[in-house]
Amino acid sequence: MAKTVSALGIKAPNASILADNVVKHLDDPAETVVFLLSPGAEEGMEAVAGKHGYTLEITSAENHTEARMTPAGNIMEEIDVSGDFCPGPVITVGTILATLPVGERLKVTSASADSIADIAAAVESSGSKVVKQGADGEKHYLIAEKAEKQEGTQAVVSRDRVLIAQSNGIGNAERAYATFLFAKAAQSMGKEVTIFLLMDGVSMARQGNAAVVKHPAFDRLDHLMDEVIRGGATVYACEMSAKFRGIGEADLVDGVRLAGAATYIQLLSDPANAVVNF
Amino acid sequence: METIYQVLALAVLASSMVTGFIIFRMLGMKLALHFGALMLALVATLAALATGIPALALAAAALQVLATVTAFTQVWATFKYSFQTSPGFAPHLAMVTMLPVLAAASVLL
Repeated sequence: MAKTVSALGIKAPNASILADNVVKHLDDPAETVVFLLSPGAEEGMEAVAGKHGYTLEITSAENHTEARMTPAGNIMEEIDVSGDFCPGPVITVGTILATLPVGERLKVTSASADSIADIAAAVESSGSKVVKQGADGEKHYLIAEKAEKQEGTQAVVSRDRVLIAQSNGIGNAERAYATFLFAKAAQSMGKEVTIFLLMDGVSMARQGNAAVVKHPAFDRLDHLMDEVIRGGATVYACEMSAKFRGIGEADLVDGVRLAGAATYIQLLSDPANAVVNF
Repeated sequence: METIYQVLALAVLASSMVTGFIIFRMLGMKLALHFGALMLALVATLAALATGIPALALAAAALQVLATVTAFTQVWATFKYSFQTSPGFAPHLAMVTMLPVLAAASVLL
């Protein structure tokens, strides 16, 4: 469990004097302490951390700075989900995060950048934070910090994004066309478009498949798809549905990337997205 | 040559036009080659029955086999990745699969 102390509004060096006193009188010396500071007030924190044998990590947020003091010897839990595919990594990380106390961190590594992006979506959806994300050689990683899920406040959201969920593929020409015709219409209306191809829908994402779908009244499906992608649409293919059909990342059309269940759920949960299902 | 097998093949070809039309609505022009083979087989079978010429019966049998082969090669490309629409293709594939058997019977028996 990490203790959070708000010292917003207190300037340096008073903030570090306060931090020194807090750390000195902690009930549990193995506890991590997070100080919320006004920008610039982190001056002198390093000396406090050094004096008490803590590791200091400073992160800047929008209107405050966070100084995280972790007792040296506290080792962050780590997990490697390489080789596991959707939704396995998301479930594994979710289960571990559920058991961690608030404020604790978990490092997740994977050989797949798509898996890490999916896990990041799941972590944020669950109310926790992704404090760091990047690549380390061949591996991709993220550091998640457990947080309490905040209850959402009622707010007016402008639905300026369109999510098209497509579960029909080249086996149903009309529905396949509908995906990209609606996407083009939405783009022409200034909407941001995301397309999620799942189940039979992923058949369109395989190179060459869309080229065989042609309606006399419309342009070839692969041309439409290319236009929509070049127009700025984000196109995801469901990792699990692709695996079901023997479609790998290398088989996908340029501009389409694999995504997991967490990405889909997060897109569906985003109130700014108007969802269209085919 | 038994004309009864040619009559049966003609019945299958006529029925295939119905199931084929449903697939055509789903897949579009992708099935043009198969549609052509099916039509030629229908015309050749009708002609063989009407005239009784052995060479026409052989040509009809060959076209019936070709209709089946083209059905599988063209529908398979879709069926490989689209599972949910497969029940729509099944009646047509089952129907045209009878054709090679009847074609062989009409030539050999």
